[in-house]
Amino acid sequence: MARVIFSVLMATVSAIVVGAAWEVLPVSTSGLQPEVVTRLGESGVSNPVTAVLLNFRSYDTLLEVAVLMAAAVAVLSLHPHQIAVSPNVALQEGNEVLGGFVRLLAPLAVIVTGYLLWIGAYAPGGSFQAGAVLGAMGILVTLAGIRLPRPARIPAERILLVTGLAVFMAVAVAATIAGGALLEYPVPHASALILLIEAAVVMSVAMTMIVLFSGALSEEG
Amino acid sequence: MTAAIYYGLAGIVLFLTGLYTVITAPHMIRKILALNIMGSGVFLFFIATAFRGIDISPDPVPHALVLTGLVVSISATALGLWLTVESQRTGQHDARR
Repeated sequence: MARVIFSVLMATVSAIVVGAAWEVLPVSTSGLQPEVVTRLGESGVSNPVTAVLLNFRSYDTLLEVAVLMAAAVAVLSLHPHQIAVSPNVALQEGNEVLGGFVRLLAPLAVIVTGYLLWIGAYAPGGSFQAGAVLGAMGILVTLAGIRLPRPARIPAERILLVTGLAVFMAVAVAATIAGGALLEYPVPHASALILLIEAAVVMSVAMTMIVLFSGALSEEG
Repeated sequence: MTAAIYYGLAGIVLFLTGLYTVITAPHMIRKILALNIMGSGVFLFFIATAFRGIDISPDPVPHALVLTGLVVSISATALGLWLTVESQRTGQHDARR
């Protein structure tokens, strides 16, 4: 009973605080929108969200990619020994309906991934959306029991997990060597560099999703 | 403007629903799901504050930050679920407490 009263009290206080914040926040001002629009031409892309994500605030995105990798590594490290696969993620070996469906869907998912990656420069889309589609496809493929043999899978998994962060860091360091600040892309090459980073991040996001979903499976033989 | 207020209010309701469950739910997995719902409420509220008017494009900075937050949120949820499964499996901890 005390617990319920406490929660109700806390919810009420939070409601008041959040409501007050909504009132106090300067909703009528334009925020950072004019600044982004003014300098959009220098970003290398025409979609303002992608410009913020991969150019104006790309340091945030770099660290986010690092967070993703850390989470995947943490999940993998939970299973130092081979354990029994829990029944809810058991492999559907020989499930022909799922297997056939996955074979039809996988090429389409790859095309959608490529489209989302490319369109991110002009319209809503980008590496995280594309990575989510590819990752979902990878989870379906895993559930259908279609997997690389273990000797090939473990290195492939590890390489794909670090690709995004490695390419992102390489671009950051290269920009510094070329004379700019960390992650300050030279304007003529900004488009290509953003696409390069996004393509690498797609791979890592997709692999991270697969590892987060099936951490134990990936350590199985 | 009204549309943004509805979205903002929906975000607040989601956040508080999640907060209530985080505090009262006895089971670990329900707490983790509730934390995820709290996060969704924050995202919805934040997106609503990016609204600048029907004919004006929204502020892209909150959109980019929410996109960042979504990915961190899914990683945190997945890691929390795995830790719960693992602690249950090794018998060191009762997930219902």
